[in-house]
Amino acid sequence: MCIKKYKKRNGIKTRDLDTKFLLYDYKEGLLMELNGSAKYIWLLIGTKPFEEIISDYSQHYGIDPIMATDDVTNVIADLKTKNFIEEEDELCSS
Amino acid sequence: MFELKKVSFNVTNGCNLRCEHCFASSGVPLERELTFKEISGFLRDLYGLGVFELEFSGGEPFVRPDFLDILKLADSMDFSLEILTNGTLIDDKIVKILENLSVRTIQISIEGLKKTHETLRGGGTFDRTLMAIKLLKDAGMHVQARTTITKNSLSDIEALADLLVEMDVDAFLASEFIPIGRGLGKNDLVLGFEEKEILQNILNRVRIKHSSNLLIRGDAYSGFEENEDIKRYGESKRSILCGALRGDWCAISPNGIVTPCDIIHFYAGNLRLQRIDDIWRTSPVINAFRNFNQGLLTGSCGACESRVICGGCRALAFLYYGNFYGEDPMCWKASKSPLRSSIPPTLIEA
Repeated sequence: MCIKKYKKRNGIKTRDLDTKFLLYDYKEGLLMELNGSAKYIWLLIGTKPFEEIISDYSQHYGIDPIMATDDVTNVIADLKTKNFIEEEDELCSS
Repeated sequence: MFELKKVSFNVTNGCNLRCEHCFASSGVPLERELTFKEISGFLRDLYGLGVFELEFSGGEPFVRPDFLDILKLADSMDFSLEILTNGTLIDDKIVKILENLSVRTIQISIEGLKKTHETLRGGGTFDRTLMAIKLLKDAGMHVQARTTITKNSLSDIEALADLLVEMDVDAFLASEFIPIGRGLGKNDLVLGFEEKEILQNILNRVRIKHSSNLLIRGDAYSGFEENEDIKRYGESKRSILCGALRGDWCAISPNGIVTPCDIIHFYAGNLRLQRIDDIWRTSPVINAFRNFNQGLLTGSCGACESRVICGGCRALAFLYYGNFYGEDPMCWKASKSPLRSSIPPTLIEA
């Protein structure tokens, strides 16, 4: 079984303001604004594996795991496409 | 809603050089330049506005005794840093500090090959500038070379570009000389209209020759589709050249004056009297640029196919013609346009 984990890339800066949460890749000059749920997921990245983020998110927002999987998957895919996060090497056990 | 994205902070008017063409007439620090404590407060306010990008310049910023402390403070507050410098004060010790900070790029002024450079900047400066570039590149830092193009430097540009590529410099920022500040009256340095066109051809040749090895940027380069800056401003199309028109940038003078323009310091506010967020929201000067209506542009700018993406220099239009919507007197396309206004005689003679 393999555990998928993501980590934040080096050089990503953040602003946690009253009305918004911003990410900034200073080397590329790319800015991204996260809504509340995306921010929640961002803060978990690097601290928990992918599956645990889904269950944590599902519990926090009180939504069913299938919907939570969709939400988390979409946010992760978006962050990955924009190069704010990267996959860590999968940890596989036999 | 116009969001402030980048601030250009002139930390001192002091400078170790006395360049002939300096638009800011830099040399001696101003009276009562912002203190470290005032700057800390200002940075906190910028943080609260969601600003990430800080560009530090002067004068020569490294002349300021606490400049490295300012950089470290800004870095600790998670800002992205750019530094504009003449490079002559950069040594190993400074590079060791810079490479551990979030320095996005360092822009080093280099005016041409040795003779051209030192005629403007003083003897001994060319080698010191090259040394700074070497130290920074050896440390793996991103370096841009900035050239203020004059009549005398035109013939140096291609050889200079070759040298910069050899030194692994990342970008070449071409800016045209404007006769203001200490450059006022130095019309012999101003490019004539034919020379401006020659400059475009030279920059295009440089771009083609060096391709991805040297990015071409800057307000002197009007090949907009190939200008690196266009990639950062995508759909906004509110001028890739002018931060004031784009409404996402402002400059701060060493004594706290806020201005939407670095060429003419239109007074938008004073950090010692008002917070930056208040100035940004309410300044009539900043709002005048925000409310700029490209449909009201006159002369050659009004007829230009690039009027949206460029907009021309409003400060120079105001300075030369007293008309905020006048044509940009420095634009080389003006000479070809049947709609051009009367051009100031100094530009025609050049």
